[in-house]
Amino acid sequence: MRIPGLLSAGVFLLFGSVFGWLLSNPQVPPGAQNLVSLQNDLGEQFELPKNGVLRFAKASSTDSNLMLRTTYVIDAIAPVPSAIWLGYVNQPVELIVNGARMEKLRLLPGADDAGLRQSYLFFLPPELLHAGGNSVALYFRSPNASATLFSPSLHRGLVLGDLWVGPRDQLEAHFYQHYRIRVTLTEVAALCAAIVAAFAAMLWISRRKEAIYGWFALGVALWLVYLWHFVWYQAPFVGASWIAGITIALAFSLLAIRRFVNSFLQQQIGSLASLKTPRAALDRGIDWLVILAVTALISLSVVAPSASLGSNLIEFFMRVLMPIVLLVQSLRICWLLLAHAKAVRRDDAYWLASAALLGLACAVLDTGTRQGWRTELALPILQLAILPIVVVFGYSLLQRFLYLLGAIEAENALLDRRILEKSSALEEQFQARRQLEKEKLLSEERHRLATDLHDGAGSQLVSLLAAVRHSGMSSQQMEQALIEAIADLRLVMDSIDSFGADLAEALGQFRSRLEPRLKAAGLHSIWRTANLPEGLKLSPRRMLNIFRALQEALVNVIKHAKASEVQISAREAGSALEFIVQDNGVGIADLPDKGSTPRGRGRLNLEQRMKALGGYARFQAASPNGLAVHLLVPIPNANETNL
Amino acid sequence: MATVLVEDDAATRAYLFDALQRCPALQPVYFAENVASGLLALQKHHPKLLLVDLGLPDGEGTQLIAYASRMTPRPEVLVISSLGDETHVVRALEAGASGYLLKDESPEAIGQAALRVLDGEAPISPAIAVHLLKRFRPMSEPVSNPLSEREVDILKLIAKGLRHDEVAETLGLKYSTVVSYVRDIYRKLSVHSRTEALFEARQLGLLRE
Repeated sequence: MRIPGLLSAGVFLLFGSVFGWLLSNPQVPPGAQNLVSLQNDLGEQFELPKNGVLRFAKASSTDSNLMLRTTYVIDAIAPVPSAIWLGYVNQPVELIVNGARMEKLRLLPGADDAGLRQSYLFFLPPELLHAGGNSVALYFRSPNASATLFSPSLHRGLVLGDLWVGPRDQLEAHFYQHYRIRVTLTEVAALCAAIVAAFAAMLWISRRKEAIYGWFALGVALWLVYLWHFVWYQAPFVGASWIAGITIALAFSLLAIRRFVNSFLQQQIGSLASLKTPRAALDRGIDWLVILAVTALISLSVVAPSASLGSNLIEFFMRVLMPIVLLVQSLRICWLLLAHAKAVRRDDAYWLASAALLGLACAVLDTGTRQGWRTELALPILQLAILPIVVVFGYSLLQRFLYLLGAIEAENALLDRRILEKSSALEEQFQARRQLEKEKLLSEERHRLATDLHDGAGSQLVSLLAAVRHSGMSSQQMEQALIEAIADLRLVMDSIDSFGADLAEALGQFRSRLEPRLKAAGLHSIWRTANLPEGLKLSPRRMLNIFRALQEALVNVIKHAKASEVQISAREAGSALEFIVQDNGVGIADLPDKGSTPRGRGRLNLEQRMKALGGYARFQAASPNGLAVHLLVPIPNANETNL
Repeated sequence: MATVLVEDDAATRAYLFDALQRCPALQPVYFAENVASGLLALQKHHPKLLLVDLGLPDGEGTQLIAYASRMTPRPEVLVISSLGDETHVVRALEAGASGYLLKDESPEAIGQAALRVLDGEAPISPAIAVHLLKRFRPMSEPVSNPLSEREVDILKLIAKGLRHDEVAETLGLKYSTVVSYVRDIYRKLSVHSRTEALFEARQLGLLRE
């Protein structure tokens, strides 16, 4: 079952407040007496403790560091007090019981007299105590009386949280249960805050333009300075200056967190305008208030550290102005977050608002304690509130980080899909273009075939028809004409089937076509084609035209040469192909001029064909007799495929 | 020793019939003009030689060739081709023909071609050799190249236009050896195309293992 965010955030807020209230209230160890409220022998010299700070005039003794000597008379009848508990003391202390100095038996690890807010447990040896009045004297000493940063009264201020006398076991149990829980909680809070601050700082370092992480890290880090006061009892420097320092740190921490909340909300909802709260002007005003208050505090303490007016002003700043500054900031943060939660009505918004409210409640409680509105023994609680606040804010930050990560992944997926769509569209285009090219090639090839058929067998058949109609033909002439038409048709067909092969293979096919005809004409043919390079490819049309020329030359030999042998040789000569058709027939002597005789017409045809191929035909007398026809055809570059 | 001639064109049929009549060794010559009557003639006369045109009015000449190659004794088959183009001839060779005959050859050449086939020769043209070389190049894994190196060499020479005797001379073989190689290649072509058909049928799920 999903618990509504508003409800769970409310429960969280309630629980946090109650827990904080309980922790801030002093619990009296059973059987113990509160010595602070007892009358002592210096009663005339100091006021009753307010806000945990004892004010006193300097003791008149020669001991210049002595801040306070207080003596109690305690009764040791029943129950016999066997221990004294001193909690949250900020000055070194000595305990003298009936004139004997007691050893401090319980200290927190790592702490010593110079620390702030130390806690001690003294055991009272029973043999020292006697029935009736026992004198118990406490001597508080300042470690460095001359070091003053702020007002002397603040510097000499003595903070004393708990001062109990009672049974040893009870006070020990009090130490462990009450005190230890607070310390542990504070330590855990500090650890969490440190981790979250480090995480945010790393995010900010890697993404400088996202100031949101930087503000968060700064805010938490400054709060850690404030927490130091409660976790590590070894203060960097002692006294009022340190108190003022942590107050300033807290003010700036709130400023940074307010900045963080501002930009966080801005990113969450786009614009703060929809929140219906005064915006930039108010925030700027609060910023200036913080800066002015802090500057005034520092400069006053530098300019007039000892003047009474100055010290009174500092007193005023510390007691009145700084709490107001802090409260105004906390209120502003709560206001923003509440308005945001109201506007978006989302779980994380409720959680953020309730965390801020919890912080505000703790701050109000602490302010009340400091101002003396609560019992003198009440303890500060704000340092504990950081644990839930940091957890909630850190969680929101993590959520935002994860959301951005998810957004990036979604963006990537979208990009991937777009790329896929684009590439499939490209693929389709490519296929379409390939189809077009294929069709273009097919149509070119069809055109070529039609032209080849028209120029060759087609025109031969038409001229044969004309000859038959015009003059009549002997069946022998007709057979001859048909044979030639069929031979040309074969060449065209072969150009479809086998001219994709290389020239040597196409020439082989050509030879197999012509050889039976030569044989039938009584011609012995010798083919010398072994010297042709392998893999030489020409376009089908070029091959067809070469073979037509060769066929023409051979037919001329059959018809006119009266030869008994013909040699056909082919070779590659540089960038040309050379074909030689040489017979042993009547030779060139019988070759008077072109055009006038059938043989002359054959020669003319051959020359024209070669010209069309970009080559030429040469006719030479062969020895001892016969004719050698040289056909020279250039091999075109790969890009000029036609002809 | 009978010959069956299946040809639908009357003029061609008469011309071929005449040409065959001149060879006593081929007698008697029966003719048919379509697949159905061709089949009847094959069943009735058990010829030694079948001459068949591919395009017949009631079907494909390859049907007759396939039938003939299952007969015992198996007749030699010559496919009658108009232009000797490899597409037609190879189809017939795949069906089991031993060679081809050109319609426009002289009657003497036709008779001689028929007799040579009966003697065990196998006519082949360079275009067909080129086709066979391509055809047997192993394309898919399960069907490897069934041709031996020697057979490939022979086909390569034939593709360049060399006659059988020239091939024999070039490779240092006997003429008859080259002839029987060519016949082996034809037989392999027919087996190969059937294997391929089976393989494709299996691929298509038409046949179970």
